[in-house]
Amino acid sequence: MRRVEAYDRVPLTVVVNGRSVRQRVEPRMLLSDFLRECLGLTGTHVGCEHGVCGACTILLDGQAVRSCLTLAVSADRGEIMTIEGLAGRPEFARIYEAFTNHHALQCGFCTPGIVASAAAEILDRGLADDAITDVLSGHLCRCTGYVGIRQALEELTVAEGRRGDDGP
Amino acid sequence: MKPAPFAYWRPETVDEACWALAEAGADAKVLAGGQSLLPMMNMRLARPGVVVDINALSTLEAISRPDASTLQTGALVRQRALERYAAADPALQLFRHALAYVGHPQTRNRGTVGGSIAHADPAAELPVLLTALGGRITLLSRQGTRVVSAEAFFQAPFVTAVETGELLTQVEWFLPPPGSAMVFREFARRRGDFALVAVAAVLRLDQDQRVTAMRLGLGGVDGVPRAVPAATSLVGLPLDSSIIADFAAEVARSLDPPADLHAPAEFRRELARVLVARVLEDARRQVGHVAGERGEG
Repeated sequence: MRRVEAYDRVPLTVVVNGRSVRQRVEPRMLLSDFLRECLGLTGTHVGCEHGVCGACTILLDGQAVRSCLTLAVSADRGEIMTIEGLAGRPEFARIYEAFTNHHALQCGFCTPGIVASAAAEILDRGLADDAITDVLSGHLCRCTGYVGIRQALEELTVAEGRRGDDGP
Repeated sequence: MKPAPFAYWRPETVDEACWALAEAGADAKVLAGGQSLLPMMNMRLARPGVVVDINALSTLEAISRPDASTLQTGALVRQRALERYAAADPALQLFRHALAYVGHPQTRNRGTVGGSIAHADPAAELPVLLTALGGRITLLSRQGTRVVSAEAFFQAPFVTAVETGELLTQVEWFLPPPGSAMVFREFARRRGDFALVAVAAVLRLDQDQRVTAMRLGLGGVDGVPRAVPAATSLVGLPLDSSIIADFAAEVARSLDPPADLHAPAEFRRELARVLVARVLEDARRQVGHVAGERGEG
């Protein structure tokens, strides 16, 4: 059983945006802070630190997850994708275009989290209509009033088409 | 804010976990999904000296239907996994409806069924569901296994029958017979918020639309989810709108809800009255629908 004392550091091995990373971290280091402070990936934002604002949302093993509610050590041996990694993927181009077309961001603080959630749904099962409200409900935006974001996600739904029941 | 320093233990087996919890004693908190514990630790409302991370215990991830009237969920079953399992089974639609209210999809990817039950937030949805359906909770420690009924499990806000050194390993849910209506409704100010009031109902009607069985659970009206024993008083009665309205008013009168930052007591009482009536109307329509499909009534 892995046992780490309070002020000790534990080795952490994760794949972040396709690259393997190995560092020693305190148990209490949050994944959000690990990404930002230890890896310099500041595209992931920290808002509320209790899971409601969604700004910290990233992909962990393909699922949208709150990095502020994940201990870095809990993500050991996992695969993480942040907004920096998503930006390099082919399917991201459509997300980028849709967000641009519909003015779905102003200050951009909430945007990386929303894009991560949307990408997770698209990667998972295609962005069905009823998923849009679900995806957006987990994100707070202070600038846009959500209208442009919803329109961008609707455009992505049309673009993806209904893939139907092709997965759990 | 960031969590205060803590020791981190990650058992590889359930036995190791029990050993760890016995060793660490009252200073330990179990980390499953972390969607309730981490917010508290981030705000330093919780400062466990030892965090026992049980996410390696893959044997606790199983969902199964050992028979038609029982659903078993391991403690580590992710809420999202149960949603998907329930989506595939018409008999489990109540779980899908209730889980849609639990947090957000992003938190349901990590949050667990066992964690929600063990955390016992007075406004959480899964404890209300468990209270309405009935069930059993399995607790494991170095002393062995203990099974606690749903009725005896929730004792006070955030306080359950789980003792120091015990690990919740499984929640067993009692499913009503086929043809039962199952409805869950909640009122919250924003999607994903904890419920101000939540109502779960299970109902069976005969061909004459008379109640043959009913169970009702309420959340947000007390420190723990409340089963409504008066639900049985409707057995034998036809479920028409005026009986529903009278019953809902009676249930509301029997409540002594807390007043707090989110709502005055009178508002919760009124919410309970309205939601109980709507849930029973929904249930009546649901049974009628099912009966219609089978060519009965």
